[in-house]
Amino acid sequence: MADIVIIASTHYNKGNNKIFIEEASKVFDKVLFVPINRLTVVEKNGISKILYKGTNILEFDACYPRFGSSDYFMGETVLHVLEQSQIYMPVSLKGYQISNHKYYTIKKLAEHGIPCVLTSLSASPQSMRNIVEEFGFPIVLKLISGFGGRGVMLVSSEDELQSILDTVHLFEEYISAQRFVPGGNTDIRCYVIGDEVLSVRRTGAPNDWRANISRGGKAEIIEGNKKMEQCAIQAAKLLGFDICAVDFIETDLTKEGFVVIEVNYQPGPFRKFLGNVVPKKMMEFIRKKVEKKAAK
Amino acid sequence: MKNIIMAVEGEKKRFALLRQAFIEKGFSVNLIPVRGLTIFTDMSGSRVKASNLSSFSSAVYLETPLALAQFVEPLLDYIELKGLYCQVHKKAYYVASNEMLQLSVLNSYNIKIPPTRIFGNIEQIKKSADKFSYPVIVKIYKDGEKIQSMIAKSPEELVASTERAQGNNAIVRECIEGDVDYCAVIGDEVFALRRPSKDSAVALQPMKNARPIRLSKTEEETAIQAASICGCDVATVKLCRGFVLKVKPYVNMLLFTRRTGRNLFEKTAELFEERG
Repeated sequence: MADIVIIASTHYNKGNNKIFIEEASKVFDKVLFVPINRLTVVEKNGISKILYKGTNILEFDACYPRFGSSDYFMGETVLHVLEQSQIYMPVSLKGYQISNHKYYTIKKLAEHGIPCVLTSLSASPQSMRNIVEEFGFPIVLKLISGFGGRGVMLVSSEDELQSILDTVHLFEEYISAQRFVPGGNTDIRCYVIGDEVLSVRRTGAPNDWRANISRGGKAEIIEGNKKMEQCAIQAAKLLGFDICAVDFIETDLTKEGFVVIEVNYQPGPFRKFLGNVVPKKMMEFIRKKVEKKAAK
Repeated sequence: MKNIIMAVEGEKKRFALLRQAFIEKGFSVNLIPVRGLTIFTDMSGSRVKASNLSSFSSAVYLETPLALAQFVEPLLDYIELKGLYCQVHKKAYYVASNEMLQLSVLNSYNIKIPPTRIFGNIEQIKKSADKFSYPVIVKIYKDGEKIQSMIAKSPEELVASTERAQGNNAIVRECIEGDVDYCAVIGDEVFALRRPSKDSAVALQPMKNARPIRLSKTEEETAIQAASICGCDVATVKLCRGFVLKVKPYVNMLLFTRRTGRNLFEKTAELFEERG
């Protein structure tokens, strides 16, 4: 007997979660699906519980947290409690905190030799002048408002920059800047599931500079670049993830021929293009982990 | 001469006095606003730039409002990687900027905290109203920011007070009635001010009525341990009858110096002499 709890975002995507539940049901005896906002964490006398309708979910064998940055603060707390318990989960609090911060992710990975491009973080828009001197144009700006990203922009000129800075100044946001990597509108997402990697090429819509599936792009499984796949596994390990997705852009700016863009701790399954492939592999992996743990 | 970087944001008078204390201990001080910093990373590593600073190469005194946690954490990572001493360590700002996480972290280390429930949404509170010993403190959060705080003396009051509340998370914590001790932890030393409770025992008198007190050995150890668990060598720990209520990664040194008669600026400079 083995059971799993899947914790979703407050505003979860029903379609995406349905296939995780379907695949979990095939390999687990019991599957509990809970949006994070229905949980209560109890802290008393050195003991913690996470309750859902009176059930302590820490008594489950495995947990797959799939909440995003919109539930950041509750998410940090829930992950901390899960991490202190005996339950198996394929993600970590450290990885959640870092992967929700695009600059911090690049910093961590670059320091361990994973190819990246020049990236910066400033705590005020006033520092943008120094950044432009370093980067020149075009430049990719990512606004970080409190916790979690708020948007990505490609800035090509001084005039465009000025109008963005005027807005940013009003909200006192952070800015992460990144050298623009001309890679067309495609990128490669490496799904990491333990030591296995599934490489998927994403191509954005013809009028989109990003490889954005939700805006009309497409995805297809490809024969992966071994070096890139090794970097994806290394990135996952650095962040304490058994399961995640690492996104790369192919470029001749580095000798490896690619750079890392970000790590996604709860990657979407791209069901329209990939069917149930990703959730199936993930759930089978988690089940095996539970079995191994039980055998010890 | 020893160097120190004060990377700070906020109250200028306090930082001027701390700077002076560092200078008196023989430090050369470079005071820089955190908002003027930029961290750059590429394949050759990371570097920090400010208008009057080309690199970080000495001990760092770092203090900012908690709202800057998302900038401070990568900066702390950079400082640690360079092997530089800083009075706050990695994760200190993550833990301090999320009260729910902080309570959970303290409880996991067996630090005594008041019995607490953390709710994923406010509606859930109603279902747990009979699970508490009253009175309780209710704190409502929206996107991590506390937007409301109130006291409920009965399950009915708790339910009524949350019905009008707007927010996405909440903490309900049992009240520990009594005076609250504000403990300034500077390394291994603790300096405490007691803020007396009002007659009702739940509310506190104004801070101006706080008076210096000597804590028991156990209370001192609890304060130091709580600060350390939260990643701080310098911190303010709020204690009530042995329970830890909150840890902040900085100390209002001006207030404590005036009230306790002990110079906390000097104590902080001594800490950097010893550990930096």
